[in-house]
Amino acid sequence: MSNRRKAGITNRTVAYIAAGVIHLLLVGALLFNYTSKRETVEAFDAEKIDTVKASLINESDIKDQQAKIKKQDQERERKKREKEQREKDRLEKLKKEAEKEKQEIEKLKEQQKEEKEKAAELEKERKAIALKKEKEKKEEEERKKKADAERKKKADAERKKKTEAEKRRKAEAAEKQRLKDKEDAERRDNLRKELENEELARQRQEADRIAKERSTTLISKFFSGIKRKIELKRTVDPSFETWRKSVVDIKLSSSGEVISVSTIESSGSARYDQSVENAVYAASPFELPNQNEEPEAVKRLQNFELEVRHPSARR
Amino acid sequence: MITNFLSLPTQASLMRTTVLKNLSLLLFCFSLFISPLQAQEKLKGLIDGGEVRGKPIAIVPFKVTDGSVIEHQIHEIVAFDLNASGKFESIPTKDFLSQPSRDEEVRYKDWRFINAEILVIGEVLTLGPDSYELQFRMYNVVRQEQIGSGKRISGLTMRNLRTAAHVISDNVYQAFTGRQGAFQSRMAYVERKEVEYQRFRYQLMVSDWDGYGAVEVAASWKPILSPSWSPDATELAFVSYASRGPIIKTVNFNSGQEKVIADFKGVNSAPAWSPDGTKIAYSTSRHGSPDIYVYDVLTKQHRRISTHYGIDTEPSWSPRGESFLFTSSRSGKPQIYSYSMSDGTVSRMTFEGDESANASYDLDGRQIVMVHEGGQIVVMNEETSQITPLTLAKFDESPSFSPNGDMVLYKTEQQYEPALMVASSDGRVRTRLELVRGDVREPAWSPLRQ
Repeated sequence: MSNRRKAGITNRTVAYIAAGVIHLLLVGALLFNYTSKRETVEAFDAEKIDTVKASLINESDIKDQQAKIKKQDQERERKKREKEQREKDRLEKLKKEAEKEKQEIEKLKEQQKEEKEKAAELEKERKAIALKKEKEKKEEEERKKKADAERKKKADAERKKKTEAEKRRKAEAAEKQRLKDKEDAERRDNLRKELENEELARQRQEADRIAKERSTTLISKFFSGIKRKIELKRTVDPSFETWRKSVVDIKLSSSGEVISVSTIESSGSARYDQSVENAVYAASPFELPNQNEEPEAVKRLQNFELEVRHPSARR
Repeated sequence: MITNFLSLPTQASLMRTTVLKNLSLLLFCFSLFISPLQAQEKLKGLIDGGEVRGKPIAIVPFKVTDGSVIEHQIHEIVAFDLNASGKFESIPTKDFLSQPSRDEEVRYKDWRFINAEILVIGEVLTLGPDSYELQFRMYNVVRQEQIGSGKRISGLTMRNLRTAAHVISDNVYQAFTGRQGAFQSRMAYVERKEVEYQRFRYQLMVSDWDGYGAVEVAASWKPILSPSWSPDATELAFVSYASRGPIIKTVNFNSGQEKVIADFKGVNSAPAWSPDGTKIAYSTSRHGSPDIYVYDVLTKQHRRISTHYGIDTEPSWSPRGESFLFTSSRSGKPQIYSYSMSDGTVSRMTFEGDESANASYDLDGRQIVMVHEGGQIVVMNEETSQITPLTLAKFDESPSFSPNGDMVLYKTEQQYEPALMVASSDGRVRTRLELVRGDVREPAWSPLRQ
């Protein structure tokens, strides 16, 4: 909307300006014509005046006047010549333009001719194309026909193939199904086996845990037993310092008899070490768990270490 | 069944039903697989109990080969010796299941059964009239082995069969404690006998350590005090009362010869023979207050050691003789001080209690036995000054260490009657020397004869 208004406004402005310009040109042209006419009149009048006055003024002035007039004459002459020249030029120009127009018309004529020719040619071409098209169409149809036939043939073959494939596929599917069934069966089997294994493992773990707990119990029972027995048998020389302690390694036979006692960490007193070893020997045999029922525990308990402190050691 | 178990994975389904029923068998299988694979940590235990006491020892009555009855029961003497030390506890003979006297008769089981740790067997061979030979063997029952081989003591008469028994005691002691036994040492004491009404005869006696075989080495109608052994155990120094008061004398057992060491004006008392035998320290009040003097045996010179105005008495040498302990009242009450022979410095040793007196060192100078608070025997650790009471009584006096430092001999009163006692140096065992009877006092344990 605004654009259109804007365009209106510009158009109007242009119109005003154009009107102004035209007016100015017209005024200018009028003025020009008037002045040029007046000049010639003036020049005529001036000469006249000059001559009247000449009688009044001196020689030099006259001379000057004369020179001036001469100059003016020369000027007028020159202007006349120029005007003639200009006219001549103008005529020549017009002539040239006319010629040019003629030429252009000719050119146009030629052009028209060419165009006509071209159109004819085009028509010809069009006709040729149409012909060609027709031909092509025919060919196409033919081809189509051929292709149809071929396709039909192909389709037949395909169908044949397809049926065969179907057959094969069916056979394959059957096979596949069979395989799948088999696989499934296997998988199921495996799964079952796995589950069974898991169950077994769990049971095994459970058994292991029970065994472990059992062995812990057995071990603590065993140790409290030997502690009681050793402490009952152990006599500590009154002269032993209370800070003394030694560590002994004890090996038992499967029946619990002490096979060997060796001090692996001395108390610093050979007599203390010896008395500790003696105490272990004195407490022999130790009661081991049943060999047949707890062979692992028995095996474990057949070699152990004991730290032996002074009974009055500060705790 | 076991094969089934062993092929566990393949026959899984079969297993399921049977597994639970056969848990123990399964355990067995697991132990079969697992035990070789698992590197198991070695088990560790702790023993912090046991009884602080003597080693239980069985001393079998010695068999006399010809079946005759001899005066001394060897096994009883040995048992008495070892019991008194506190390091052994003999098992009563009635508990024995067998009474072997030879190696081949020993059945360890019998001795383990009665909890014996040590077994001593032996026999007395009668070689002729009053001619004997003693054989003995020692066994470590818990290890079921003989200690060394059998030993034989020959050339014995009835008189010294007892000494032979002490030799056995020393052997056992050495074998099972690693320390030298002191059972062949002797003691000196003073016995007062009422010869007539209110007329006393004082005898200086020397006997075996257990009081057996006492012989008189000196006697007087006036009191005898403070016997002190020479280091070679052949002489005694003692205080005897002369007409002007107490004087110091020595007596040699072999010759019976008596010598006067110090008979100064005033009180001469408490002689102490130095460990090298060259000096006798004693106390005399010749210059007023009692002070310590040292008498040089070779030069017969007396040297004044202490000059304090308080009472200084009861000197007792350190094991190497470089210093001596003495009792002094210089702090107001009697306390133990030590005098250093090298630099003449005096240092106070006891700080606990009001009174400490009559101190003496043990074998290696680590312990000091003394009379505490006027009547209790205590042992003080020389380094830590820690005191262990040996007795509870209030009338104990004259303590002296056995030459190996494991026992203390002292005099006490039992039922208003003087008695000589031996305590183990830990104070756990106290034994009365029953063989010494009468009004006895001032016991002194001899050094070991070299």
